[in-house]
Amino acid sequence: METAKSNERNTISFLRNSSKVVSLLLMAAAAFFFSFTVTGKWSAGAGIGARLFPQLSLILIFLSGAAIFSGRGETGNKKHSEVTPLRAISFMGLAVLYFFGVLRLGLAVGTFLYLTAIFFYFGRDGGMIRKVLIPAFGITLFIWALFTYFAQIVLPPALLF
Amino acid sequence: MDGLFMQVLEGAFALPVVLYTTVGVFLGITVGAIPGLSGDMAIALLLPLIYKVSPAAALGMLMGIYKGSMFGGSISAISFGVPGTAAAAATVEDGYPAKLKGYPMQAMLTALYSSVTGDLLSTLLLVFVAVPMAKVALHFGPVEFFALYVFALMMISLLVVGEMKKGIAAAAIGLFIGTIGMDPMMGSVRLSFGISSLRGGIPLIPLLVGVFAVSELMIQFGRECASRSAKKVAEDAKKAEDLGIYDPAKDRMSLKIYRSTFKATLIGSGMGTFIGALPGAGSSLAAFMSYGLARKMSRKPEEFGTGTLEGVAAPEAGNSATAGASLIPLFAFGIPGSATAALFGAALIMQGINPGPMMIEENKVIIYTLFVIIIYATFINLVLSHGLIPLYAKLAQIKACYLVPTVFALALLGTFASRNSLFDVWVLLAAGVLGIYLRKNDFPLGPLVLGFIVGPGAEKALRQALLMGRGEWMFLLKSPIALGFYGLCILSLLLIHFSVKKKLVEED
Amino acid sequence: MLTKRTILLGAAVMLAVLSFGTLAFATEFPKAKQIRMVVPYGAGGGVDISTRILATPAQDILGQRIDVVCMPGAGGQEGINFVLQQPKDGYTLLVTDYGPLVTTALTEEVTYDLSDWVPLVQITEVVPTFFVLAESPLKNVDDWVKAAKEKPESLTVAHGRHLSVPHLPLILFEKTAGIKNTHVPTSGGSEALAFVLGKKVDIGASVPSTIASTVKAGTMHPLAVCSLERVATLPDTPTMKELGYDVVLPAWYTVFAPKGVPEETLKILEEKFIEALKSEGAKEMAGKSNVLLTPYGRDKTVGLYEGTISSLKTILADVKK
Repeated sequence: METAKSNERNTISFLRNSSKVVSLLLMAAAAFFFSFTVTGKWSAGAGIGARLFPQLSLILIFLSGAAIFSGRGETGNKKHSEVTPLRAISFMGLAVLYFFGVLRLGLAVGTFLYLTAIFFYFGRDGGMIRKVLIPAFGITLFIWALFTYFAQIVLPPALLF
Repeated sequence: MDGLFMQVLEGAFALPVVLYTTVGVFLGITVGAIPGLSGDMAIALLLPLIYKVSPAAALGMLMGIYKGSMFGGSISAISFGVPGTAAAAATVEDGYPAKLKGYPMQAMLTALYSSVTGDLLSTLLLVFVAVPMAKVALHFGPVEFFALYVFALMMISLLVVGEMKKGIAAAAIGLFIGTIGMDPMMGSVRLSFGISSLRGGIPLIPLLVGVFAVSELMIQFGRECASRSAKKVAEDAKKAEDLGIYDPAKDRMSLKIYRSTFKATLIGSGMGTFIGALPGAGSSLAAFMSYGLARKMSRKPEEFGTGTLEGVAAPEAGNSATAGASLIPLFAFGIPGSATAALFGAALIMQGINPGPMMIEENKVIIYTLFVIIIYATFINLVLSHGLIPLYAKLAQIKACYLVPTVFALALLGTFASRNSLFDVWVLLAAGVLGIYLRKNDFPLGPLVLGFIVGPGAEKALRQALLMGRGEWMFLLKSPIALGFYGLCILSLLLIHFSVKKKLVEED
Repeated sequence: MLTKRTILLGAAVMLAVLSFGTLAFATEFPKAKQIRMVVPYGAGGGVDISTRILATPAQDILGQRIDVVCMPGAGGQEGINFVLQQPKDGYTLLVTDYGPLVTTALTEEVTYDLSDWVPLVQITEVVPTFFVLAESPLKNVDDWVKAAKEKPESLTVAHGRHLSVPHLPLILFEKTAGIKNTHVPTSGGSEALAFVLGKKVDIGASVPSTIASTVKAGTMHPLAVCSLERVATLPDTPTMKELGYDVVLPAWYTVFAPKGVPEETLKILEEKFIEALKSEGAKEMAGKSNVLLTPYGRDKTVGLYEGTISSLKTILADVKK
């Protein structure tokens, strides 16, 4: 009865201990990639083969992962807790949407929409025009000028400019 | 001799030349400050200009861009914690905490002065001892390079703040990522999982910008989101806690500060010149190694990472010193020491100047003019930056909710524009995810970058050395230079071992 | 305020711009949009410089802007795939040597067939050159063959990347002469040069432009070149053919169009590009940059392309995978 309870508590604290989780992930990833280095059709050529370095680095990852796992590790001190998975995903998602916007709708339009959306989310107070549209427009202009005139980047033909 | 002297002065100080050089410095600083864009890109874009203006003006402009971008990267590194160029990644470690503690101006001016010092020192070396130095560099073959890289990897221990195991893991991850793509010797494609874009491996700049800059942007984004949903009182308290109360009067640069960081600056200059002169090493490597070495030799190593100005001076001197130094092998033998030096070589070729031992002989006027321009470009950099820093510092005060998306958009577009590659953008984003995950779990990022940069070079050197030694591993020890580096490694290991032991004893 | 009116206005503007965009396609070549010449190498390299020598005068002759775009990603494959994905209207062209285009196609899986490309105009060619330190005991190719036959694999040769432009002739030469050396792959001509200079390897293989300066200074001695005729910048260096070894494998820098571009467009491009290469402006730039222009048209480039493909097939067949 007592042991069951403390087992449960141990499991929870185990999972909460992020360094344990991370180290397990590291070891798993190392093992996973290692399988590729064994089966990969890489020419050996003269001297040591192409496998050595990747394998060495993976072994190192595995060993250090094991060392972290067996170490004490910190449970507290959650660094950068304000970056929750949700926020991270939405940040990345925004980036992807932005880029597709640029590719499909053109550099200026895509940038403008992206900036407007973010400024809208952050600065709704203080008026739509002043705090959202004008900065968005201004920055879009700057970015567009910088990249179209100066950098002449190669974009697949987009719908608008 | 007199005639030559006058010709050179006339050429170097002609108005168009000075003008173009100044424009170049300005462009360089601006481009360097924007994450994702690099000085290399600006130089590559302006190469066609070479055919249109006088050689001195064109080369002056390219030189200006190069120097400006070396410093420019540190501006955003210090102001928003986002390195503007790969070489400035090491500057973030102490530069950004310095800003948060309330002395961004001191940090940026320290960065500027040590940048300029490192630059000047390596340029003087270029002008006066290029050929002898290059001859020394020639002694570095695969055996020596491998020993150097092993030593560099040992330096990881110097960079780690916190658990060493995590540092080694980060370095190993970096090493591993570096092996993706064509192997350096036989060209067989490794670990590409069938994705053809991975054939060339993971590109350095998107990886670096992603791991450092994107993760930092995400952190600031998260902070913004958090402060929006929290109550206003808590929000203000948090902001005040973060920034401290900014007192411009206390944030002034002084000679005293310059002197106190001088040792770090010298270390950086020396390291940067050395690494810059070795073909293939690179400014980011120089920056990190300068940082590590300065920390080792500092009287207060525990302050590194908290915002000490020494930690800003060393990497900045280091990366700027590579500027002049990477031209050394180019000028002496026609062998570019870095990608930027290669662009320079192209610019010289396009002007009919063939880089190499005969270059100075055959093109006395233009080369000496170039030397003069290189030197005064450094001063233009100093003056211009002095003027631009307050402007950029003001920019950094813009609310994060505006700054973060803008910088991010610039980083995305800049990364894409650099090699016209959509794949680079994916790498940038993936690296950002990796970066934030590592940061949340308290893994140091420096070793990861080091592992990634040094890994492929180390592998190539090792395999080349073994080929040359016909498979004998003892061949690796057949060089005094190599033995010297291995000796340094063992020394470092011993030092660490004893300092750890000492710490444990003290804790008892 | 986002009223209905604003939205409708915005939509109307977008439609107008859209329709304007599509008008562009109805005009004759090359007036519709700018031409892009894609280089699958980094900026500042040999191919880049040569392409600019063509593009600058060609812009005026064609009356349309030409952008030289460098796409070095994925070992050059990104650039090649980019050209393949663009509409086959002649506005996107590829300029390359045989490395990313042919060698990669023959050694790995790529997204195209070699027949998907139409060679148009050749800008220049680079000739693989073997060189040693001036003070080396090897004074000529015969010395090399003799030393290699006495002690096989005793000589080290540094040659740039595996299967690169200088490497393949080395393989061919070894086969022809019946010798074996130890190959030391490097990251490129510069590193090969550095190794020879630093006495880390015995022989180097690269192109004339890399070694020109050291040869002039007297530090480096070129042994032989692998072309049909002697190279202008190295007039004292014999060709392999002269010495009795049939090793002729120069690397052309040629402009390619993807298959499917209309024949009239190809004719215009060929004609104007050759005109550009023969212009004074091109000659001046080429002279400055030490590039020897070879304005060959399709009559020659097609033959050279197919010749290279078959030579490479032979050489690569022997390379152990």
